[in-house]
Amino acid sequence: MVGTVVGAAVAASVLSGCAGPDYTYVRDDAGGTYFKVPASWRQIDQKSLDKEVFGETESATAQVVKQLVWTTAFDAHAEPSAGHLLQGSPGAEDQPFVFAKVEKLTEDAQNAVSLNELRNSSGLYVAVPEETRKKMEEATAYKGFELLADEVLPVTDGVRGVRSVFNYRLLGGPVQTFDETAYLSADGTTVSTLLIRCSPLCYRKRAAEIDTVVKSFKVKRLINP
Amino acid sequence: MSTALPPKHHEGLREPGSGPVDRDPVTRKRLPLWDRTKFLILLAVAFGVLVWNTVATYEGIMPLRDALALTVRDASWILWLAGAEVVRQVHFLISERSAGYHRFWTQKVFGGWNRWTHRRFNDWNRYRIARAIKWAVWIAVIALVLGRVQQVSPLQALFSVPATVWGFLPMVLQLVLIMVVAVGQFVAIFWFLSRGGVDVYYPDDIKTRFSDVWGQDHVVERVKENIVFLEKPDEIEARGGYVPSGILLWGPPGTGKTLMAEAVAGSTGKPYVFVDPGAFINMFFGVGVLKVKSLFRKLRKLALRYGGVIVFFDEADSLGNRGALAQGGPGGWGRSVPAPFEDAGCNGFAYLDPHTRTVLGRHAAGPAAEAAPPRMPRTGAFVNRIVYGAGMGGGGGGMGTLEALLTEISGLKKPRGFVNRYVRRLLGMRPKPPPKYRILIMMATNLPEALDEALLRPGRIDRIYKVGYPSKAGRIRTYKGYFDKVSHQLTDEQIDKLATITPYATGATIKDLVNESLITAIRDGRETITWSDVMRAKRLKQLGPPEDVEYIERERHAVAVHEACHAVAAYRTRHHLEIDLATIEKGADYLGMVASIKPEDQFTRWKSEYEADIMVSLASLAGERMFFGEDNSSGVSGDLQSATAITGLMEAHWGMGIGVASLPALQELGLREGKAAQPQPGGGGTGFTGTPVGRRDEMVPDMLPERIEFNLSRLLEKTAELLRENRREVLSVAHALEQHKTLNGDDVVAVIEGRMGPLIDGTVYTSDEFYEEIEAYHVAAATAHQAHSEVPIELPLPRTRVIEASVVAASSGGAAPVLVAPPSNGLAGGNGHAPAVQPAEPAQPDFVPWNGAPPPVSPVSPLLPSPAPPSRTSYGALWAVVGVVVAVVLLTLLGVLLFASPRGVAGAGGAATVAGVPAGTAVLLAVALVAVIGGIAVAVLLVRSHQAGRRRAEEARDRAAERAQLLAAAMDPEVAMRLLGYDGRRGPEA
Repeated sequence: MVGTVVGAAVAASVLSGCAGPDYTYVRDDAGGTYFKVPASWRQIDQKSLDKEVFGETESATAQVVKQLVWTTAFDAHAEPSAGHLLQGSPGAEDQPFVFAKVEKLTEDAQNAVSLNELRNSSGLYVAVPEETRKKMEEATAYKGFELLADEVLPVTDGVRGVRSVFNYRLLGGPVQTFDETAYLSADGTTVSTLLIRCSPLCYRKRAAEIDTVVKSFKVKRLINP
Repeated sequence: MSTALPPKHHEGLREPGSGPVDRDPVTRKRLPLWDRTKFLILLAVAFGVLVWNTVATYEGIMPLRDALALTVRDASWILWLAGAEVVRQVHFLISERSAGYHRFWTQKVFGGWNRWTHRRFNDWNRYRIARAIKWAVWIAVIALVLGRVQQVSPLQALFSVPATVWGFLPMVLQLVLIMVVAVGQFVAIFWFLSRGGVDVYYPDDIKTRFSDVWGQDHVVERVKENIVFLEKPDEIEARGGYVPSGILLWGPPGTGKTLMAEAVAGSTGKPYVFVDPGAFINMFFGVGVLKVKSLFRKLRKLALRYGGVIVFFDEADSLGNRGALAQGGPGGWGRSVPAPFEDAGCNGFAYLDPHTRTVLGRHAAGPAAEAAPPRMPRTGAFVNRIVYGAGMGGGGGGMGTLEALLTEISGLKKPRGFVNRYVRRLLGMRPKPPPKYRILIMMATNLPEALDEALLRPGRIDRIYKVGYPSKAGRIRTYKGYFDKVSHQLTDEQIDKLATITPYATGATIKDLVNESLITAIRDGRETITWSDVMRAKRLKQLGPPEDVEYIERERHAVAVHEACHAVAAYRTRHHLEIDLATIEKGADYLGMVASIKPEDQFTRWKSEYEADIMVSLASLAGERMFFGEDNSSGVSGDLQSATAITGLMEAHWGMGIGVASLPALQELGLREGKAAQPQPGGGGTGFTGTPVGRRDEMVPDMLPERIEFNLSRLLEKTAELLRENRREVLSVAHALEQHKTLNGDDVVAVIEGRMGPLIDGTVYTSDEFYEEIEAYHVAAATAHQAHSEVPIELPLPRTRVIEASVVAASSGGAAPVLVAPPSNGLAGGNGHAPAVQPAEPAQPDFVPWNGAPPPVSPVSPLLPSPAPPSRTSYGALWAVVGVVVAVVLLTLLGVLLFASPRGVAGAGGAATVAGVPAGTAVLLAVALVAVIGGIAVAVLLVRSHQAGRRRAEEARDRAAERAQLLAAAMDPEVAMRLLGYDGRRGPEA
């Protein structure tokens, strides 16, 4: 009967191997932050993503920042591109784009961390004073900010988080909806951010899919960080 | 296809005979289920663990299906392994069912591969290929692991291994250092412990020469021969032989083994290594082995440098013994093939005293010795294997030391050295054969049986020499050698006699005796050893200092009679032994004794001699019964014991009794002691087992104890008869003993024979009146004995003075006089009155009793040289002689002048013819005159020199006395007190 059990296990594994998993499971280097995206979404090449996020700069500061930050991105588009992070594809059907970032905080940043800091952690300013917002609307490329939803996530196992959904019109492009989830790790040293971009239409259409991804984004307390 | 029955599964071992019948089954043996599935289960468990790990990693977001799929994707090797295992199990399953399939695989595939490899490669190549494959596999595994750890490809990881190792080097070095420190402690401890106990002497360090070894000429010659071979190895090596490498000297203690080894060291030009007996006793395992190794390393070095080396193991028995060899035989601890230390033949006591005493001593040794009587003569010594087996084998060298020594001794011919063995081979050269290490191993022991037999085989110890007791010639030479170092007055005959009466003397005991004699002389204030000093020293050595016990008179008489009976019986019957001394001074464990020695070296014992021994033993009983009215003391117990023992041995061991059979043999055979066969013809008995039939002499006993008793009582009667015949002699000797307490053998004989002895005048006993006095005294003593009263008569003393009494008194321990009667030191054992003696005493110079001896009887035996006459001459007499001579000469001259004057011839002794006097007469007179004058001159010179010598001697004597005082002060207080008291006592007389 042991043999049959073993046989069943082997058979199950073989079968499942043929089928392949439904999602792609992703975690950061330290293993504290993980999420899943549908298996059809494809990962963005790390170099082009770095270029998109950090710019071309070869400055020493950028290098240091790179050391502190882990990033990854998945694109549901047939031709995945790092450019889809902020702009979306120009074609008819826009596809969601997932960007994840895990940043180790410096000591100053650890002291300054707050829920607003978490909201702003993706680089898109969500929580700013009114005046600043006005100035931004006038002077910068960050235009057309609309906050659609904002929710402070329940604290689980010492991990605090915020989820914000907002619209932006960036770099003169069309309006895009961003779904941002940010967590502060239990020891307060790491901020993990998941940012999903889609056009408002797309966001409404694929809300369930996007919600699965957002819900799967988790931060756990590591035994030995 | 044949199917075998499914094997029954047994827990543990199966029953005998239930094993597989089929030696060569056509199918594979069926596997139990567990063996079939264990690897699969293991892999499944591993797979499960991985799945669980995946789920745990993506906690909360991953369904099991995805986890399985992910694991399958990431850990596909498990599946591959599982697949391989499945294939293998399927293969087994088919093999178990199908004979053809099984045959195909075992004989075609694997068998073919086997055959091919065996054909293709020889064993060595296959081994090398297998080794290379193993290496490759391990390197691959390491590369894979490293690649995985370092996140690079395995090949890259392999290339970076040196860098990795280099990176870890500081830590590795630290670890190595720590280990070196930890191990180094032990290394240091062992290094220090393995030092010591080995001393190297170089030529000229030692002054002993072969000429210093006396009395062992035969051994010395042989040992010299070995030295010659060591010095000139070509003599024998050029002829195809080899230099004997080992000598064992064995023998009783004190016979000069170590001295001989020292002589070897002094006589050879090679270094000499002395190994302490304790060198191989050590605390830790292995230190002994290290010591042996370092010793031999040193020996090889010395041998190469000096062309040879001698190593001497003193007390080699400390090297130990691994116990009896396998050939030990059924006899337990005995050796069926004894070492060469066993003397063949009857007197197996090779180096122990073959004397009756030893026989008795062995029986006195207790029941353990009794239990193994047949073993004793064969082992040839008193060594008990059990005793030294426990002592040596366990502790001693032990722990591999002996084995290491054995290996080193016979392993001298191997190539040695790292360069020699490895580097030369690497360069394609053959290792050099080792040089000839000429190491002469000498060992000395007095427990040869304790040596391991492997040590004694030729090639290790080639020559085994017994250094036994020196022969008489050797003893004489030894005595002469030692006496020549001191001042003495012994003649050659005396030394000869001394050598005779000390049959088992060794170099050490001889040296001791001479020294003791010297001390005796010094204590008397003399520088020169005399015969009496030697005798006294010998007695002291033999008996120890006598106890200061004064017998009451009747007991003294009883003891004296007891000993006198022994002495007389010994003198009358025992011709193979001489009486050494007789004494009634109480010692540690005896009341008195009569000791005997062998006058010459004799190696066999005869029935007549044993009977004489028994009679001497029984003489005490017979004598006490005879002289004390059938009464006898318990003092005869020892005598009876020895008499019975010897009789028993004669009867049961030596074939000297009624029976013939040997009791030990009977006991070994498990037969009880038997009856004696008929000595007369017509006995018809079948020896000891059967019942003797036929006519027997009813008087002759049958069973062994009865036989012994019979013999004893027969001899007792004979002894009593002998004593009755010699009543006068017995009483004379008893009297002499009572008077002097201790008599030398010659004095005993003198008393019996009634002539002058060396120390005692025996002629007084020829006087009948004196004998009557003695007899009367005996009767009185015997009566007192029965009544337990005082003896009414005092011990009669002979009229004549006993000359050496003072010497005897001095010898009877400086202690005795302190208790007895300090003023009358002249008389030994006297009961206080010594009228005849006293007047002569004060005239004597106190230190040199023989020098001015005026007494009528010559104080010394014929053996003692009388002192030179001039020293006796008084000065007045000398001058008178001179005056007379001068007067005669003057008268003669006057006469000559008177006769010659008319002729006018002047001058003394003129050559011309003188009228009236013939010329011949004149010449004669003149010559006489010259001779007389010359004689006077010579006499004067002689006297002068004698006076000077005497003065010097006196000064030296004074110094010696001072030295003796100092010596006394250095001794223990008791002895010093005694010495001082002695001097103080003599003080007033001086």
